[in-house]
Amino acid sequence: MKLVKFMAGTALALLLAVAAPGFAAGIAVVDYVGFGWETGGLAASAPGDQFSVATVVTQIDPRFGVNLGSSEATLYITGLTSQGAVTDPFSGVTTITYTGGTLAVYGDPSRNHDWGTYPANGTVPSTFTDGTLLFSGTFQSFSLSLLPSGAGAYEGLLNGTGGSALAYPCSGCAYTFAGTFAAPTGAQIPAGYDVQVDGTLELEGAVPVQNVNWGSLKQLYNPGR
Amino acid sequence: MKKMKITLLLLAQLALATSAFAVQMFDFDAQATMPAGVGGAAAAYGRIVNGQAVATPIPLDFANYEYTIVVTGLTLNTLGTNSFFSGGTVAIYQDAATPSDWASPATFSDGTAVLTGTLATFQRTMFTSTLGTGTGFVDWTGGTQLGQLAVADRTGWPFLTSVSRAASQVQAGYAERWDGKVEPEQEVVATEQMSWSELKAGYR
Repeated sequence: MKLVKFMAGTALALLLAVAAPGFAAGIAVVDYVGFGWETGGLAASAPGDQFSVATVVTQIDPRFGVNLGSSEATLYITGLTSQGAVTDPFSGVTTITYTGGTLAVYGDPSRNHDWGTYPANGTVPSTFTDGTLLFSGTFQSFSLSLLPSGAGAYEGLLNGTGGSALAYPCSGCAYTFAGTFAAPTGAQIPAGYDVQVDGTLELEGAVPVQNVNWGSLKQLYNPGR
Repeated sequence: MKKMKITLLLLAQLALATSAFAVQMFDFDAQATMPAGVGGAAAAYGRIVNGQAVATPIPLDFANYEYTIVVTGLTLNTLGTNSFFSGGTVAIYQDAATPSDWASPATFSDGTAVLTGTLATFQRTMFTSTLGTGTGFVDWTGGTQLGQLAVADRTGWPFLTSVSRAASQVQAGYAERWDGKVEPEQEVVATEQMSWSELKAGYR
C-alpha cells in the first residue's frame, strides 16, 4: 500500500514537472515579421504617443495549435504609451521606454492579413486581430533603442492573461524581442509605417490543458492493468 | 485623345502596382559564433523560415525542401559596443536530405547552393549586454538560382538582424542568436517577355 502511494506520488510529481517546465525546456516560440508605427512618429517619440506593431507569424510552436500550412497566425501589439525619447549624445542611441500595452496572437484560416498603408486603416488592426485568440498578454516592461542609421531593437516582458495556448495566467512568463529597421537601412516599409520588425515571442507555460478522468490518469501509470 | 488614354492607363497601372504592398525577404533564424578577438572570423548558421507566411524574392519550395543560410569568414576588424566586420560570404542552401541541427553546423551547408554572395561589411551594435542589432549589405554573385534575379537586382540587399546574447536564446556552442532577414530594397518581379507590338496592343 505504501509502495502504491509512493508510486502515485512519484507519478504526480512527474506530471507536475512536465506541466510546469523550466523557461528553456518548456518554452514555446513564435517568430514574426511585420511593421510598427507610432502616433506622432517614432524617431520623435513624445510622451503619450502610442506605438503599435502588426505582424504575421512565420514559425510557431505546435502547442499553439495552428497549422501555418492551412492557416495564418498574426501577432499584434498595441497600446504602448511612450514616456518620451532620450538620446545619448555620445553614442547617438535613442531609447524610448513605454508603459502599458498588450500583445495578442491569433490563428486565422482566412489568411487575410494586409498591412495597407497609413495605419490604422481599413485592414489594420482588423485583419491582424481576427480569428481565434491563441495568446494574450500585458506588458510589464517595454523599451526600444534606435541608432541614427535607422537600425534598432526592442524587448519586452509580459504577463500572460489568456488565449487557448495559455494553460493558466502567469506573471513574467513571456518575452519578446525584435530588430527594428527604419527606411534608411534599406528595409521595405509600406507608406505610413515607421519601422519593419523581425522578432520572436517566447512563452513559458504554453501547455494546453488536457482533461482526463482519474481512471485514465491511473491507467497511464498502470498500463498492465 | 489617344495620348491621354495611354497616360490614364499607365497611371492606373502604377496605382494598382503600389496599392498592395508585397514584402519579400529571406527571413532567417540563426545562431552565430564570434571570434576571440580582432582578426578572427564570425559565422552564422540559420534556417530560412518564411514558409507560406511571407513571400521570398525567388521561388522556394518549402513543402519539399529545407532552406538554410550560412555566413562565413566575417572578419572582426573592430570590437566594442559597435563592432565592425568585413569580408564575409553568404550562401542559401536547398536540401531535402539532412535536417539542419545547430549541434552540427555542416548540416546547414549541405545540399544545393541556390544563391551565394558577399557580405562585404557588417556592423553589430549592442544596446544592452544582451540585445543589439546588426546591419550589412549582400551582393549576390552565384548559385543555381542567380539567374532568377536580373543583373540590376543582385546587389545591395540589406542584411538586417536583431542580436540576442541572452542565455535563453543561444544554443550550446554559439555566442549569439540572429533573428533577421536579407531582402531586396525593392520588390523583385519576374521578367515577362513580349514583343513591342504585344506591348503596344496592351494599351489599345
